[in-house]
Parts: sequence; structure tokens; C-alpha cells
Amino acid sequence: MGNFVLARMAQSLISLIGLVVLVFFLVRLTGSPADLYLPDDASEAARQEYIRIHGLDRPMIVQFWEFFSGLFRLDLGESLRQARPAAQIVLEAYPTSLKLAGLTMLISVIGAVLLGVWAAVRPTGLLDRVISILSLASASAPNFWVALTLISVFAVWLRVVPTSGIGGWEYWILPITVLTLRPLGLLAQVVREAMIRALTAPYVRTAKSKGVPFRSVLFVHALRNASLPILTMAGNQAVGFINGSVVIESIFGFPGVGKLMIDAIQQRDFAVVQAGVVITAVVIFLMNILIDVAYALLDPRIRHK
Amino acid sequence: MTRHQFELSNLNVAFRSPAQTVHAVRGVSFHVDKGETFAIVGESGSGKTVSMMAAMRLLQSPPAHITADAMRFKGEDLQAVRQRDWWRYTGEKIAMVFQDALTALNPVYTVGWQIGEMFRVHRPQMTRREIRAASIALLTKVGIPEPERRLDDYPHQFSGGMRQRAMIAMGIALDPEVLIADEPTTALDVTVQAQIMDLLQQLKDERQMSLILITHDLGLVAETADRVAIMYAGTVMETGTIRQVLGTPRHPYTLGLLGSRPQAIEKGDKLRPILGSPPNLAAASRGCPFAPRCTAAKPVCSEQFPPTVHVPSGQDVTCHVVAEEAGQGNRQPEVTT
Repeated sequence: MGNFVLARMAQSLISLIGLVVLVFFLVRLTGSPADLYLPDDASEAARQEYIRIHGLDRPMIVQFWEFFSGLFRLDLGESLRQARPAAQIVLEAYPTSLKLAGLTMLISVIGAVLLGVWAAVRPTGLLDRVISILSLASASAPNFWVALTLISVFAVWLRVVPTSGIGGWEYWILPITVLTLRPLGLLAQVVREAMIRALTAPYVRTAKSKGVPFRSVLFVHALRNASLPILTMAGNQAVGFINGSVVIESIFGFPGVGKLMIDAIQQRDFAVVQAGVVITAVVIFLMNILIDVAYALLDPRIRHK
Repeated sequence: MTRHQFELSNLNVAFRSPAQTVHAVRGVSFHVDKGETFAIVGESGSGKTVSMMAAMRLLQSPPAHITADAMRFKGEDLQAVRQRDWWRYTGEKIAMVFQDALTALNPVYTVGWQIGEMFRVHRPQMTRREIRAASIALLTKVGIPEPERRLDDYPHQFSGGMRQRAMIAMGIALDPEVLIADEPTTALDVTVQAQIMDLLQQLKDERQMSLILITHDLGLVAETADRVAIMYAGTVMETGTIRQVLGTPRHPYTLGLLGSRPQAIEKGDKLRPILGSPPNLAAASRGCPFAPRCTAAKPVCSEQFPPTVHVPSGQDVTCHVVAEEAGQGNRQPEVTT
């Protein structure tokens, strides 16, 4: 297991370096922070002073080296806007995003397993058709449109939930509902497919011949075998959420990493953007390791390879 | 009526879809007595496995449409058993051993877990320790070395022969009175085949089980079975004791089958296959399913389903030609579809 993680780290390091280089230079194409942070009528001298204080006058390559060597000291620089460590700002935003992603995935996986298994019991039956159509619609609906529609109906018109911001549990309802739709729909389809395949497998016939109750045939014998494709899809979706959902967090004014990154880009807060990308990359790396471990736990044939 | 351990009478299985109806089993009847080995022989698609799956309620319905005059276990009407009570019969009184244990065992659970499941389902009063001890005893019984250790192995860690042994251990776990073995040796090499058959025979003798052996291997049947049914295209063509059916075969299909074996011809001679191929079971034919390939066929054969007659040598034969020879040609056919 240790070797496996090390090999994975070595592979990921190369892509991480590429990513860091790309982000460092791309974010600087957005323009100079001085134009944004100083008043329009600031004197040229004041502008030069600002640029000098923040070290933006030095050659690009020197700035890059400073950032890059900082990575090895776990120093991700300081925010221009808030004048405190960028890493700290990003890490403060993470719990909100992770909670949002975690709850969304939990609801999606549980819902998708129930719907998919239900549909797979009688393929092409009425229930299966209804679930298939609904899951297709759910997976294809554009998030931002659903978000805006739900806000107008439930927050503006019916006034049962707040429009945006963060606070009690009622602030989580709309964002989670919107974010759940896509993974729920996609996963329900994957669960259905995998379960239909598993339910026709000879070992399911064996289980039935043993007198195993149908519930156990479904959830113990078939579902465990169907879990690998489900895990793959759930993993993909979860990784997509790690960076926070940029659009949904922005629409609902949710203070997660997604919204933080959008704000940081608009504010040309280079260090925060960089810190956000680096930390997200590390979290995604950890997430992928977790998924691989889960594969091995679920299927002994992978474990014994 | 004599009480057989297991009995099927006029079993019909059709798979219905909007496009077509496939008559997989037509009027199959047989019985098996205590301590007896009954073999069902036929080529792939002859309905031998489907008949037993239908009896064990392992077919999804729809598309399967199953009817039978009787299905009995020790005289008890199995068709009257409600679905929610069925688990008391399957695995417990009638157990099944499947072919190709690699796919028939669940790949993600240990062999011990899968054997233990028999007890967890049917013997809820047993403790985990008792179940483990019983599973070890079963693995020892079927000849798996180091059973304590192998119990925690997964099916893919077993060899083919060992997997089949584990499958058999699971089948006999609850001491069933009828054991259905569906091609138990198909995926195995010849020496292992012989070992598995010896094991099944030995277990059957010890426990006075009735063994229903589904196979396409006539050699295996000759060595192990007491009685046999020859199936073709969903119909039992000829059934009787081994001596009757293999010694004095009467049905043209049985004759063709025995004649087509390499052992049946002189060295250097050409093989004598049955010409033609099995019928499409979706096309409903009123006559004998073997008629198109039968060298003795008469006009009546393709028009009317043949009657089943009891011939002097003792077996039952479903054939117009044999019936006419026996002077029973005018009898009403027993089975019409």
C-alpha cells in the first residue's frame, strides 16, 4: 500500500508542477492589481510605490521562483486584499465546500442506489421507465437555470427559504437540491445498469437457490458486485465538487472555495488563486487515493493482484 | 400413487416476448426416488437446465411462463407453496449445484461466508462459532485440505476443482433430500471430473440423497446414473433405466446419439453425426421436434405430437414410429401443445 501511494505521488507531482506553472502565469494575464486596488486618479508615483511594495516590479521569473520555492516551505504567499496568509483564507473556506459536497454526495448516492435498484428489479417495467426518464432529465438539467428557477419559486415567490447567504440549515436546502440533481441522475443510471448486469449473473441464481431472501439477494449479493462502477462515477462527481461548485456557490452567495476563487480572480488576488489551486490539487490527489483504497476494499480480486 | 422423492409431471416452459414465444420445455415428466441418481441428458438448449430452474423457481416470470400438472416433493404439491415460504424448500430440502463454480460463486465474498450463509438463512439459532465449525466440517467432507485456512479464501483463490467442491459443500450443507447437479463437471479437466463425480456418488450414498444429474456426457451417465431421460428440443424422448435406454435404445434420437459417439465406430471409419441441426424453438411445430432430422420419420411425425409408449424392454419412448410398432399408434397423444 505504501509503495502504491508513493508511486501515485510521483505521478501526481509532475502534473502538479505543470498546473502550478500554468496558474501562476495565467492569473497574471488578468492585469495589474494596482489598477484595481488604487483609486482611478492615483498618481503614477503612488502606483509605482504600490507595485514595489508588493514585489510586482521584479522580473517574472524571480517572482515565480519565490512562489515555487515557497511551496516547499508550505508558504503559499500572502493575500493582497486581506494581508494575511493565502493558505489560511483558502483553508477557512474549505469546510463549507466540503460539507456541501459531502451532503450532496451522500444524498445522491443513497437516492441513486434506491432508485437504480428499484428500476433494475424489473427492467423495462413501468417503474423502470419512469425512473430512467426522470434520471435522464435530472442529469441533463442545467444547474444555473435550475438554481435561478428554484430561487424565484421558493425564495422569492413562496418565501419558504432564504435566497442566498449562509446561516441555519434552511440556507443549505436550495444549494444541495440543485447540486444533487446531476450526480443523482447520473448515478441512478449507473446503478441501474450495474444492477441489471449483476442480477443476471450466475452467483445471483446461486443465492436464490440457497433460499436467500430477495432483499439480501439485491443488497448483499448483487449490489456489492455492482458497487465498482458506482464508485467510479461517484468518485468522478465528488472530485468535481472538491473545488467547490463555482457557479452554484456564486449564485447562492455561499462562502466556499468556489466563490472564494471567483472573487480572488476578479480581485487579482494572485496568492489566493494560487493557494486555492494548489490546495485543491492536493485534496483531489488524496480523494483519488481514497477511491483506490475503496476499490480494493470492495473487490478482493483487486486486492490480490 | 407411489410417493417419489421428487416428481414432475407435464412441465411446460415458454419464454414469451412481444416478438415471439420460445417453447423451451414441452411436457416433461419424470421422477426420482430415494438414494437414486437420475440423469437428464441432452445437448445445449434441449431444456434440461430450464426444466430444473423452473422447478426451483429460478426463472424470471415474465418472460417465463410455467405450467405443470404436478410438481411434487415427497408427495407434497410444490406449486401450492407460497412464494414467501419457498425459501424453506430451496437449499434446505432441494439444493442445487451449478456448473462453472467460478461464476456461480459470488466473487466478492469468501467461500466460508457463502457456505455459512446456508446456515445463517436456514438455521438462525446457530452461533457464529457453530457455523464456522460446521463449514469447516463441510470443506473437510468434500476433500479440501486445510479447511480452517481455506474458509477465508475468496473463490478466485481456489482451483477449478476446489471451487466445484466448495459449491458441493454449499449444496449439501443442510442435508437436502434432493440434490440437483447442473453439469457439475463441465468446466473441469478429466481427472478432476472423475473425482467430483466420485464425491457426489459417495455423498449421495452416505446421505441417501436423490441426485438429479444434468449433463450432456453420455459416458458419465452410463457410469453414475440409475435411470436416465434423453431430452431433445424441450421434450423427453426416451426415459428408463440405464440398461434399458443405453442397452436397448428405441428412440431414433437416442440411437442417433449413441451412434454418433466416437466409441461407437470402428477405428478409421468416419464419424456418424445426426444430420441437420436442432429446431428453432420459437417456431411452433405441432409434430415431433426430431422429425426433420429423423431417418425413420413418417408423414404423421411432422403433423402430430408423438405419444409416449411403454415398450417391452421397459422404458418409455415418445415416438410415432415406436408407438406404431408397439401397436399403440392410434392412442391419443398424451401431450399436446
